[in-house]
Amino acid sequence: MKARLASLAVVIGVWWWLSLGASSLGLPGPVQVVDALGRLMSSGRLMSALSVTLGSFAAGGTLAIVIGVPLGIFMGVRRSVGLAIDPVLTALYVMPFSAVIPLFVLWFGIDEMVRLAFIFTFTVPQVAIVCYQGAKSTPTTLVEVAKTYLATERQIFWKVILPYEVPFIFTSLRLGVGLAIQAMVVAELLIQSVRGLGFLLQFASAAFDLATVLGVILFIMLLGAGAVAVMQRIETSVAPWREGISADGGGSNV
Amino acid sequence: MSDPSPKIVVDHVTKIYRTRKRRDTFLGRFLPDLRPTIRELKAVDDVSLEITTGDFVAIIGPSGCGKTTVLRMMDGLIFPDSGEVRVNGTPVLGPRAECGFIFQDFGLYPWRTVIDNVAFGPELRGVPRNVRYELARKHIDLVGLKGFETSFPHQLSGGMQQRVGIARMLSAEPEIMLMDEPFGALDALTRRTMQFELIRILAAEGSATSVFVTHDLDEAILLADKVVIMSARPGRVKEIVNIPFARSERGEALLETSMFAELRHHLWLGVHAEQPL
Amino acid sequence: MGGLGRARRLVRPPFVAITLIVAGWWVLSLGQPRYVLPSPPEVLSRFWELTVTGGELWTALGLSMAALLIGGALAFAIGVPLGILMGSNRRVEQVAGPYVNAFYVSPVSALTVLFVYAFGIGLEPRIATVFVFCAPVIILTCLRGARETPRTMVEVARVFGASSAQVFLKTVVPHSVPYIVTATRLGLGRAIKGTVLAELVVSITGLGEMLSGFAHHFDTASLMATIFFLLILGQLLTSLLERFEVAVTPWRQLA
Ligand SMILES: Nc1ncnc2c1ncn2[C@@H]1O[C@H](COP(=O)(O)OP(=O)(O)OP(=O)(O)O)[C@@H](O)[C@H]1O
Ligand SMILES: [Mg+2]
Repeated sequence: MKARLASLAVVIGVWWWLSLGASSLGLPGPVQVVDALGRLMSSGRLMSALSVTLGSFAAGGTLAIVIGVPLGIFMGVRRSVGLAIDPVLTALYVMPFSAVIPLFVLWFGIDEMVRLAFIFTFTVPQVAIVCYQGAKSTPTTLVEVAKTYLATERQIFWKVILPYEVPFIFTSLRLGVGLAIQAMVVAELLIQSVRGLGFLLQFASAAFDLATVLGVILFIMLLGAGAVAVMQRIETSVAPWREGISADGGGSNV
Repeated sequence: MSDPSPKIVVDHVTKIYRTRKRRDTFLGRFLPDLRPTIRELKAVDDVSLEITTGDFVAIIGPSGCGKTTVLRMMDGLIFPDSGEVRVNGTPVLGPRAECGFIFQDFGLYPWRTVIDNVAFGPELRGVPRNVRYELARKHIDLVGLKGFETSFPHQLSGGMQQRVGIARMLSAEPEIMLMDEPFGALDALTRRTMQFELIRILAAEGSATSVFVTHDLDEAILLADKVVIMSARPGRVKEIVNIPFARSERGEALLETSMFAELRHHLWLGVHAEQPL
Repeated sequence: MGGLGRARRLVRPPFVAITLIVAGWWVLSLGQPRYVLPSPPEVLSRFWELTVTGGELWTALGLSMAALLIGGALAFAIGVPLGILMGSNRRVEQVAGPYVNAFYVSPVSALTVLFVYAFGIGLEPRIATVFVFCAPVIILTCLRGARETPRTMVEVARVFGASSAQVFLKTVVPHSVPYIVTATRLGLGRAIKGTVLAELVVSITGLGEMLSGFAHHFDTASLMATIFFLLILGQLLTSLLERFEVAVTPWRQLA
């Protein structure tokens, strides 16, 4: 803890020193950045931009989870469906996703719809893959135990596969939230808008207001890291029995 | 109870496992599998056994000789390629209520507490909660786990976990108990304790028919009335050895008798001859 | 078993999925103007032109390669030693860990705006983007490799009288090798993503230029062909590197 605080102090110190000494760079110091952020906040511009941006994030992310989780579980339960869709999802997952933005803009315009669609298609593969792997990896013994007690298919699903899946679902939620935020930022950067955080960035950038640019970037990155940290907390606190079952698809994606 | 007709009949059973090698490259997953490579493995070859009501039968044999396979066919988890398994005179077409099964790796549900694990069978049958909990408590007491009802499996030691497995099987009130190396995952000391415990528990439960697989010769002699020795793969029945001890005699003292030593030597010769290196 | 099994062997499930997707796309494309949704054959013929007869996509890929390779190599050169150091030294991990983790989970694409500020719109901001995209995953994977070196392996070395440097070189580093290979694969995947993003946001060249150019001219067929090119490229590289991973570390069981 001490080491961490010390390193944070050093980082901020170096930044400060850079902003003072190398003024040719025009690098604003920590105080100026916080000040710029404060002004953005008190004028309400940050909040209104954030609410626009977070609106599409919430809609796209929720949709991705509502569809991705059941899809993944279904793939795990119906093996041929899983085998069929898995390569498609994997291919989507590894491709450089920002490439589809120009196409999506052609299809959906530059309004909320395109952000929602982008965040959704960006997030769904990862969510579904993690849930698929969870359902697929249900230990055969656990299923066989249920069979020896004459469980029906339906009972096996509700009493074995689904409970086993719970930690995987939470992992998929954490990864999904992380991805949705990344998608949100990419969408803000690549799609012309007149309202969201991306507009704020472009506006400040055009006015050569580097303090604001830095402030907004820091704010976005902290927001993303914070959201993932919160999800991680929830993930580890859920299900007291989860010791012994680990579920991590790992990785983030753009 | 003293019905002399066979409870379980294994009638000239052969089991062949077929595994297909899949091409698991990205493109391979799209392309047709024109000439699939199928590996066939004859696990069990023409095995016949008759197990009468109240018998306690142990199956021993070298690793991979098909002991588990035979046991799983008795419970209808898998099916023979030829021949037939009959329980109570009718062919086994799937798991049935008469049979309980104990798994080597316990197979406890990590998300269920001890009592919910034990009450699992009745729960599936739709038995109301208080009734099945009462049944479960009775068996939890019987296996000596009173006080651990609300623990999760990962909070218990290996021996305690298998006690939960036994209690879970007993709660379903099976006529036949099938056990696949029930104590195989336990350390030697715990295993010995559990063997005597099993004798005590089964005595308390009345005389069910039991079949268990083991690698532990002492365990086989200590618990079983008959020991089936299987030959190396493909598994066949090599010899059936009668164990002449009465139920009441079975205890620690038995381990020291010369009769026990003789039996153990006999079984060891039988298995050792088959053990592949 | 028999009939269905055979059918499944001849017509594999992924093939069915792709066929259904393409069929659905074709049907949808019938009622749409070409600039909204071209039909599969149109995209395929554009794909053919762009990759074989014309080959523009390869030229564009070549232009993209500089940023990708330099940024990726930098990330590798810094990330591997740093990751192993962090994994074997608690102090270093405590100090650097939070930042690496923050970069790993946060939307680093936001930094591109800053890079444009700092470096203009040439090659440098693209290199920087690729670097921040792939360094965290390389560092964290190598960190795991070093940290998960089994205690007994380290202790065996100690028992044989190894010095700290020897312990590090003979147990920690070899144990990390498979992780380094994995890190390369994951890093390369991220590097491609960073490259394309940088070419769209920072400076319009290479594949990014193709994408935005086609979009600008409403040449949707070419746009989709380029996207498929990237999709196939990503998949091909990933599965090639997975193969490579298995081949170079035959002793490893699982990643
Ligand atoms: N599901 C399966 N698919 C393919 N082969 C199998 C399968 N299950 C078992 N086998 C093979 O069949 C043979 C017999 O297996 P089985 O598990 O019945 O042996 P076992 O006597 O119980 O061995 P062990 O003492 O090691 O438990 C082994 O060679 C095993 O590899
Ligand atoms: Mg076995």
